[in-house]
Amino acid sequence: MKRFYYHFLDLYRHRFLIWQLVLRDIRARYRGSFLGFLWTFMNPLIQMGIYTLVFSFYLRINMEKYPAFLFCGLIPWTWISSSIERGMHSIVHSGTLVTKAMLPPHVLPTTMNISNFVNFIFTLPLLILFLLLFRIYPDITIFFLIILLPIQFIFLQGLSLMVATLTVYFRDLLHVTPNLLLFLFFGTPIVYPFSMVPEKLRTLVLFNPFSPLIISYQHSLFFKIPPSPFHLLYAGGWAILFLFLGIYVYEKFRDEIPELI
Amino acid sequence: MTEAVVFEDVVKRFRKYHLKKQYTTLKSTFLNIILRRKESPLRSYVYALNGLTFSVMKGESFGIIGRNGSGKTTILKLIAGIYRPDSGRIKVNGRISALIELGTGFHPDFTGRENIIVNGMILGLSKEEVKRKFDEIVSFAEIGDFIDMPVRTYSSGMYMRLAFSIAVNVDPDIFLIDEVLAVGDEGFVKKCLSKMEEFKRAGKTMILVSHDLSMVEKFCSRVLWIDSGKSVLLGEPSLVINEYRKSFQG
Repeated sequence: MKRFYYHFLDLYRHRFLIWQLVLRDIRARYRGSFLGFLWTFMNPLIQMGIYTLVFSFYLRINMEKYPAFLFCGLIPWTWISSSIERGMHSIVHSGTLVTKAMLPPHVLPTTMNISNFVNFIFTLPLLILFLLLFRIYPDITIFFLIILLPIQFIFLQGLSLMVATLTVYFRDLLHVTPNLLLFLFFGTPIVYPFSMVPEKLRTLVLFNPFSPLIISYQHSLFFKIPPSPFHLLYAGGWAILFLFLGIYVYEKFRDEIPELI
Repeated sequence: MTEAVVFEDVVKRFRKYHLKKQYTTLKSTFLNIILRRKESPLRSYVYALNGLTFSVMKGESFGIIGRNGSGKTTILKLIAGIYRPDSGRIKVNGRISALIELGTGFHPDFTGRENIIVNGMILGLSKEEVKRKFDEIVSFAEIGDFIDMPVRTYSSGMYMRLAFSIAVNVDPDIFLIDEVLAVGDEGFVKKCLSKMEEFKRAGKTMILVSHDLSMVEKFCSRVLWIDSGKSVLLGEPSLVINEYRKSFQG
């Protein structure tokens, strides 16, 4: 319990540094690129084009306004996959910040997570604009995002802390993860609505911790119905579990980290 | 006088990585778990510090010398808390600033100005301190208009100037300095040395690792010579440095 306290105390002590690093990260992300911040939006847009072509035209998923539906899942997914991938690199590739400066390593994944969070908030207006193009007018249910965003943030904070630590020990993760993410992507109802999943497999799909989260996004943005309380509680439960697990794993190995990178 | 840093029989070892089978990989970990075998019994260690005892008094300028790989930087990293000792005790009284590398956290795409804030905070300055000392840092660096250019366009000398200017404006009780004066033209080195003299007069504790023996001799009040993680000699700078020099002639 004491270690948990110090874990957060470290973050609190470095709050200004974290904020500076977040600002820098956001500015650095698009510095020198022509479209700048728009890339956060362009990439899912390109993906959406591909998936629409494949699923709407070739495989013929019969769904009205399919591209808009896709987008409601793809944007939060981009946040998830980016946090996992950047999380892996956050400590291992931090250069001398961890090995030669007195910086608690978990400052780095935390910075990355906050930066991704802010970035996601920036994309929301564009997402809504996109929905409007498809004549989907946001309803009051959009306010469920106020619950969903923190859940996702807590979830990813724990998860990225965990992968950041484990990557220090097992560089193999750098190679495995992209495939694992692809598997998770198709195991999460993003390109298909949950209602299309055969009854028998639904429990399995729901077991994926990302499913309730993504489904809730689709509910509040696309279908304009309140997310089921079960999904919210379930996603929240996973988030807290992962946060504890992440901190636990990190704190267990923390002392060795500077020696191993 | 009280101690600023105390080392009591400190041991620090590192795992050896020259054998392929000693790497931890996913595969080997899984196999170890499945076959219920213990981690490789062959695992061997390098002892970076092997029972080192010494103490540094408050306000002292303490030099550490020794061959490459003798454990000098490991000492600084232990004092800074980057590493934890495997056994023995380390006591530190006071706020530390570790200059183990200059310009940690510099982002190449950002300007000198922008980098001052992050680097200063990494070295332990508070937000207000960075703001307060900002102009002083910029003027001390003397890099002119380059302050508004991305750091990647800097020459290594300019990079060092900026990094050192930030570092000397940190105001800790204990300064750990690791061979950072190596670059920079004579004028700048002089400026840095006078700044360090200033610290000395202000009663700051300084622990200096360097291969520049004449500087160590001039600057430090006591010198520790270590070899293979053990203390060889500790005492008057001229005496220790003489003995150290002799060891190369044998």
